Amino acid sequence: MNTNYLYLIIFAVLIGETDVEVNLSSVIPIYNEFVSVLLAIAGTKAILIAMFYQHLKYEPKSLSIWVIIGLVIASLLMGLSFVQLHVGH
Amino acid sequence: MAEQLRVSARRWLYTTNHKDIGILYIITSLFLFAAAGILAITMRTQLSAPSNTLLNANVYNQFVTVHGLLMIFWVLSPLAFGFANFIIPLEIGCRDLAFPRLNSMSYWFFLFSGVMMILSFFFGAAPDLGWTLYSPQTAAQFSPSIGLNLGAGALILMVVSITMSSINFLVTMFKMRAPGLKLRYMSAFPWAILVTIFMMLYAFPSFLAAVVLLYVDRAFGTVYFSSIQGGSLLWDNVFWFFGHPEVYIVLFPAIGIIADIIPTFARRPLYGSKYVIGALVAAALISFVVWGHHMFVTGIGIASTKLYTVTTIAVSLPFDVIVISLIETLGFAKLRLKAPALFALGAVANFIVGGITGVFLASVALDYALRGTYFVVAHFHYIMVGASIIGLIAGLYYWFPKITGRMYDEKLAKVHFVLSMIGFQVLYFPMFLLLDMPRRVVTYTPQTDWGLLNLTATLGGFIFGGAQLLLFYNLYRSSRVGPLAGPNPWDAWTLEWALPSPPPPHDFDVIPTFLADGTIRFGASPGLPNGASHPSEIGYPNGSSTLKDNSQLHLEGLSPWPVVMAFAAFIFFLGLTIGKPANPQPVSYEPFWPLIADGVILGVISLFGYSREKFTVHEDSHVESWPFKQVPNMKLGIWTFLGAEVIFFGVLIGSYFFVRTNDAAWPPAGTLFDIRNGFAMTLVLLTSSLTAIMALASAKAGNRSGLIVSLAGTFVLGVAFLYIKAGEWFSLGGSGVFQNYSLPATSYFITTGTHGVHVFAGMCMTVYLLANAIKGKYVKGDHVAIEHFGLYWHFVDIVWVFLFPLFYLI
Repeated sequence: MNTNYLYLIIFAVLIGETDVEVNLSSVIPIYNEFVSVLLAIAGTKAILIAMFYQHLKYEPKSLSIWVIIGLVIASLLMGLSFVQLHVGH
Repeated sequence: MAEQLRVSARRWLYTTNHKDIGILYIITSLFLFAAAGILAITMRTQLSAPSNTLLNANVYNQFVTVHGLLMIFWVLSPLAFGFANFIIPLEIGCRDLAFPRLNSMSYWFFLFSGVMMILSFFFGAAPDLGWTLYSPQTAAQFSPSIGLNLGAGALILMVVSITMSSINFLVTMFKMRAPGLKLRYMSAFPWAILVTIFMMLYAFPSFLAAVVLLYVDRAFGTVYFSSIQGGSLLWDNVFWFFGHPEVYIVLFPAIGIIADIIPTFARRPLYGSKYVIGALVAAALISFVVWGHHMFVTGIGIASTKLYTVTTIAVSLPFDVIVISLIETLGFAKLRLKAPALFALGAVANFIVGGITGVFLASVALDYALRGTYFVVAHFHYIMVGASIIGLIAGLYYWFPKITGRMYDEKLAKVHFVLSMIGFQVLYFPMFLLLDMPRRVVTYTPQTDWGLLNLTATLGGFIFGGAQLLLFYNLYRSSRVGPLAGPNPWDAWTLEWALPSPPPPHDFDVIPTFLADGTIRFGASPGLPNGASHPSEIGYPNGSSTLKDNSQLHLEGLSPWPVVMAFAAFIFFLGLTIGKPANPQPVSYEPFWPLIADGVILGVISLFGYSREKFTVHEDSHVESWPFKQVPNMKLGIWTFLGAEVIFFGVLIGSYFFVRTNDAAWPPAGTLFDIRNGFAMTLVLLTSSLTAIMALASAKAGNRSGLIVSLAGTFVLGVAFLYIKAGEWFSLGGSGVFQNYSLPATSYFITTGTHGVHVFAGMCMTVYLLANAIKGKYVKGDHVAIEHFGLYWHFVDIVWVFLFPLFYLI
């Protein structure tokens, strides 16, 4: 496939996902589920951008692992802080 | 004479040579070691007798704080990275770091940050809340002195320096090892530095975010740390997430030095070297999940305390492996008790005491009893001074001959060792017995019975401090009149000892090759097996007709722009932090705009000069570069930078989550921020990502007009994004919603504002690229700059992808 078409398709998917995000609150009334789904959609958008616009898909796997390590460490901070506030009190 | 002075000043100001920069780091950190030491001796004198009045509480608190900050940030790590700068390229067989000008800039940022920290004494008052800068005492209403603002500015500059350095070393060590030098063949010191940099890269952005939030709270009246939902617990999390890895960041280089020195002087290979490296890596990884043990008394919940107890005990296990390995290396060894070996052994002994007393503090019950007492002071000084400083001094004696070409005075060094060890124990061991003395008091009453132990500790302090004068004298005198050292006075086995002392500017005439059996080969010279007892057999230096040319090539690698850029940042932050209070309650600051303007102008000039300067860095394709073989150096550097950015924004977003989930009264979606604005900005930014990638596609295809249109489109969309954002900000301001209005407003303005600054930086890049594209660049296979810009711009887009739902939809 011509890469320019691929970029356009990715762009269309990103816009579509954004539209879904905006209209999601009327579909999922439960707050926690709503937030989880929103974050999941944002995550897929981020992955699409990283894979196709930043070309991670075509880079050596070691580079992807390098990026994922940063994400895991950032997630640890957020996750464990959340546990401190809301678990075991 | 004047000409000689000019040439010398030019060399040291403009140098990009890793060895020169290493020497600059070492000398600067030793000066700051002396400064921080004088503060410590003065504090000890104050505490030597009950009800002493040498220092008042205000001055004492400033001394405590600046002593801690200087020692941790401006002495321990910089001294270690002075060695790393000088030694690592020599040990891994490359001629310089991957980005020499960035290396120079790291040093100058570090220097100016230290100057800024010391300057805080002269602007009212220095930071006075302890190196942990606990909230909410740091809030402007409780600490109105601008000294703390200056301190925050200094810390920001310092973190910038460390981030640049981390990226540079990571790329160098991953991508520029001599042919055949697999990671597993590296000795303990390069491994320790590699692991340290990994921790720096992911821990310091958290600290940067914490200090930025602290600064905006103080300067712009935001309420991150003064709100109930954020407050001290938020600070504790973002600070200690960095703070505990920081302990290992300052310790690991010393461990690496010790683990190189002991085998050299024991004439035995490091026992279980693979396990030592594994232990370093394991400790680094676990260090990111232990920070909560600094928060046992904050009421974080029983589940968390259990978790952190387990992880804290777990992180001690790799250190057991390291200590056992070092002791086993000594077994049946004919140890040569030269000064480096003595200091290395002393550091191990101190580390055992400091490490074991640290395990006590993993117990919640003991932590409740001992927290905030002098027991803790003794524990961490056994690590920071006993292991780190003593270990680094071992490194100073070990590499002194390599750096200066001369031997130090061995007898004087041994006297220094004896006095240092006696002084150290007399200074810190009594503190273990001061179990009930709070650590942050300026004085105490005679009824406490703490006087004798404090007097003893103070005497120890004077012995230890006095001993260091011998070190300075020995180094200074020996560097001038010491006997010539020769290439390898220790019969050591690592590569730097195969070079002359001091090494020539270009380091290697011929880049060495490491063969599969561990042999090092220089051109046609005979190889030397690792561990052989006569490394002088290498036959170095190889005669080379290119020696003169190489030397001149490297000396021409001078650049004025790193020091100018660092100075611009210095005066910019000075202007930002020395302003006068604008509102007395709560205190907020009005920046000193003339200095800020000067900083911006100088920054723009230096950026322009930096980008226009012809400074070629050769990238050799025949080097060992697993695991990033196919990734060019610059691209790896940018991805590594983005990794640090992930943590930075992760902390900002994490802070938002923290206060959000802690606040039951958060306004529902759509009530404070208009969803339509967020939606519009998202569309604009996503479209700009498309134009950015189309710019790269056009450049690759040689389509100049497509490139120009795409870049211009990206710029215009960036302007549109900021225009909508600015409109939203003004609209909120018109409704009375400012950054200090409420926690939702604080988190919104600061997080989206920080993102906006990133968008603005990206737009500046597009202007530069556009100007070059109009001149015809980037379409003849030279499109890497467009690709690198795209990596950054798409990252900024990804951040917004998360900010949009978090701030507008939930």
